[in-house]
Amino acid sequence: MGYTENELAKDLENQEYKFGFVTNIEADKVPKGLNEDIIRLISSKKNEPEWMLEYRLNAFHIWKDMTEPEWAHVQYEKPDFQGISYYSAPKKAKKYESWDDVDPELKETMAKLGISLEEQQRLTGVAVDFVMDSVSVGTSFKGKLKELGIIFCSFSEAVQEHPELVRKHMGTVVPVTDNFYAALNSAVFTDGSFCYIPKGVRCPMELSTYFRINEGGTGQFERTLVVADKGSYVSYLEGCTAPQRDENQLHAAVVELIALDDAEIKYSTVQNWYPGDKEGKGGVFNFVTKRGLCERNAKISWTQVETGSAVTWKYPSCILKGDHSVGEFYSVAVTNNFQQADTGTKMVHLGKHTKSTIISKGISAGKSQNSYRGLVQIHKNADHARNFSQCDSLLMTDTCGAHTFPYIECKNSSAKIEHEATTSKIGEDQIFYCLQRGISEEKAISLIVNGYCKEVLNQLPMEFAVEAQKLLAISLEGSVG
Amino acid sequence: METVSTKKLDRFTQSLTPTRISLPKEQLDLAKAVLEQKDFPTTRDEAWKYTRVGKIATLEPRTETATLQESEWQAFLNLNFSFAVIFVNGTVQKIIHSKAEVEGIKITPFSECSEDQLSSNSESAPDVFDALNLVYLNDGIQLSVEKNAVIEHPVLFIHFFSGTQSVHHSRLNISLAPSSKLEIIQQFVGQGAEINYGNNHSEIQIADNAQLEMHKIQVSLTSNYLISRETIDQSANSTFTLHTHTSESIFVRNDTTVRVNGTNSETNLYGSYLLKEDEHVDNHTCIDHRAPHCLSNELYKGVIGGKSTAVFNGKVFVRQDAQKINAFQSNANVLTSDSASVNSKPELEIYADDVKCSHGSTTGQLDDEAVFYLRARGISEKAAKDLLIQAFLDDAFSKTTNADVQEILETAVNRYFG
Repeated sequence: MGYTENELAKDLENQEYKFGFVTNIEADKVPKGLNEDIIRLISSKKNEPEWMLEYRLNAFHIWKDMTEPEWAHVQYEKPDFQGISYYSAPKKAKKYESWDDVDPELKETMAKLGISLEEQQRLTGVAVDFVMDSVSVGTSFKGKLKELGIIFCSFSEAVQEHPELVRKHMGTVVPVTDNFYAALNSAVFTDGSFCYIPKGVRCPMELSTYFRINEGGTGQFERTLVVADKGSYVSYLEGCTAPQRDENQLHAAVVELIALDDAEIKYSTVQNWYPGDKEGKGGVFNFVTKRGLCERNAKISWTQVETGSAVTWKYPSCILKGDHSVGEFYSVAVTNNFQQADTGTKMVHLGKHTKSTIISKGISAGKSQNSYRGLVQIHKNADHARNFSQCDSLLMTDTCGAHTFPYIECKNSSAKIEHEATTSKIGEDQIFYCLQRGISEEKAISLIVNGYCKEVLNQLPMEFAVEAQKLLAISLEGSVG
Repeated sequence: METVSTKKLDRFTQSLTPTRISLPKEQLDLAKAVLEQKDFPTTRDEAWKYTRVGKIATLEPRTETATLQESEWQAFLNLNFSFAVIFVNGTVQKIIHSKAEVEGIKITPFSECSEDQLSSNSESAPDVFDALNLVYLNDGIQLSVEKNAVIEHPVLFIHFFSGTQSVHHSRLNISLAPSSKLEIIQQFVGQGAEINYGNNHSEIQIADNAQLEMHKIQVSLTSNYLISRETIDQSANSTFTLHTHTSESIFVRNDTTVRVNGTNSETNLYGSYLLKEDEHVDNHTCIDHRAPHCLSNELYKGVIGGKSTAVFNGKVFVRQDAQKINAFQSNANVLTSDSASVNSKPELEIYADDVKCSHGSTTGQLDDEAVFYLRARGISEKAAKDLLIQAFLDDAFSKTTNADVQEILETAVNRYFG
């Protein structure tokens, strides 16, 4: 490659400039609190068109009249919405002076995940701010995507360069009035990702926010919009497989997927944000609204591996609007120590011959609480709709909890719905079998847990699956006494 | 100046007569406070998400007593029983003894009980319907079975409802002493076509080694809104079995709460519901496992036709100390019409690790191939479908071993298909 590191550095500097980020962090942070002026300020900083500002202000007025939802099976101290700074430019400053300053526990974790030293340094923000490989891969990918007419860029960029697409689709799946956190996000979102796959195009690679990490940092209120036009296919990977220690208290993201006729979207998430320490102090509140809309013959598949965050409140859903559309949800949720997760899905069957599958695997350890909450709704016109749900829970200690709250609503007599759930612990005979063969208890548990989650892990793209497996092992480390 | 209340509850209670039963003062005061503070639940309340009580809330109710002629209840006494209690609009009209002498059982109407005899097993503040039941209680029965007494024939409770816009509240306090055994049959019977509302609450205590089997039969309450509740406390080594059958009833809400306080206990809840036309049935169950080494089974099956709605909400709660629990729950529904709907919510809330809990819920329709098989053998479509539905329900029905009850259910099913 005739591309030197210096050139790359220069490119990136230019890119930064292009996005309007100012390097002086102090100057680019709005005061704490939320009001109309702040929203105007965010909008003007991002140089947004008038309609975007109106959208934000409208959302803000709706949000003001809403109250925080309390139905989830979680307990936490509510965030102070006026105590948050709603805009700050991505942190480009070096977090650590040298590699030696980096928290050894963090280093160890990354080593276990099998992340290269270079990568580790990049992730912790030490010395070199970027690594040639991943960025050059990113840029070469970009060229290839452009050839196919695929748009994959940051949300801010999309607002500037593809306003017609953003305006047409934004808020159609998750309207601003949807819920408290969606309204908040609509008012203050700082950035996110936008992806458009043109008609009949099969995206040749897995799209990932991972590649974009150096371009525009994503804030705590990110917004993702994926539009797959007729007959197209895309597999989208979200989040970080690396342990980015994000200290933000509140994450309220919105993800909207639109699969037009015959399109297919596969959306995979591996989430391991900071879960708080062993005493349950700190950690991220992850309150996310994710929803996809399926038109005729379309398919949306959500796969998630949730191991992080102190409190998770997340229900990736599918609206099966078109006839013969398909929705899938595969989830592994692991909670340890004092983590709390209330997660599941909603499958709303509107069209005829629509199908949905839900496979949810919960693992609770320590003193955590892990709940599955799901809705399967068959509407009156959804003839011959089909649903299969399976929600299993695994309990690792006698101090944790595993709960299942499925809602099944059927208004059509030709629908077939099946739901089953089990709760149990790892069989002593299984562990005994492994111990007998010289496998340590810890390894045995990791083996059994991986087998238990196999159905879901199989859905993940290859490289993701490997990391997810390691992540599971790390999350459950020392959880069995 | 007097302010006009906008609460539906205030309007509802204005012409009701407060109870004359000497209920424990503390309990009654608590219930009164609830009625002052709260209103009827709406679909925003989780426990009433799928059941609208608007039709009850908009009644213009009054307390109406009535008496029945003996001939009117005779038809319901064609079965073996040790005692039969006739409730008419919530008031005990007659207690009938069987010819044979029965020992070890005591039945007293609330009106003859003193305050300290009427203690309650309630653990939390009552909800609106509970509070209404207490504050406007018509009458109740105190039933106790002595230690080691095995009552051969069941005790019958027949609740008759009649009257226009009338409201009936009744209670049963049932206690089984250690190692005793009892069977109870409760029948709810609507009379006439006038709209009225009944609310019955049973508080049941089952001591060590005791066994109770209870049947609730709710058939053709075509104009009677019914709320029927049980709160059961089970001690060690006890067994409680409940069979609930509802068919062709306009509005029935069953709330069953079982608190399993002792080890080695067994709890069985079985239910069946058959709906036609425009009916609504809501079965809420909660089994709270507080002690280790217990077993619970739940099976609810339903056939929903017409514009009817069925609701099933089953909760299994396993406390942290309740290890080695086996809890099974299953709900199956068949929809026979396009306008029918079903809402099923099987819940598990588990805080102990060494447990085996499972639940399942299915909704579907009759297998076309099975219908074809029967039709190919010269059976009409209707008969074929009826046959398959009866086979579907048989699981739940066959749990009843009482031949008299089986006969009543058979008649109800024949009526349904008739």
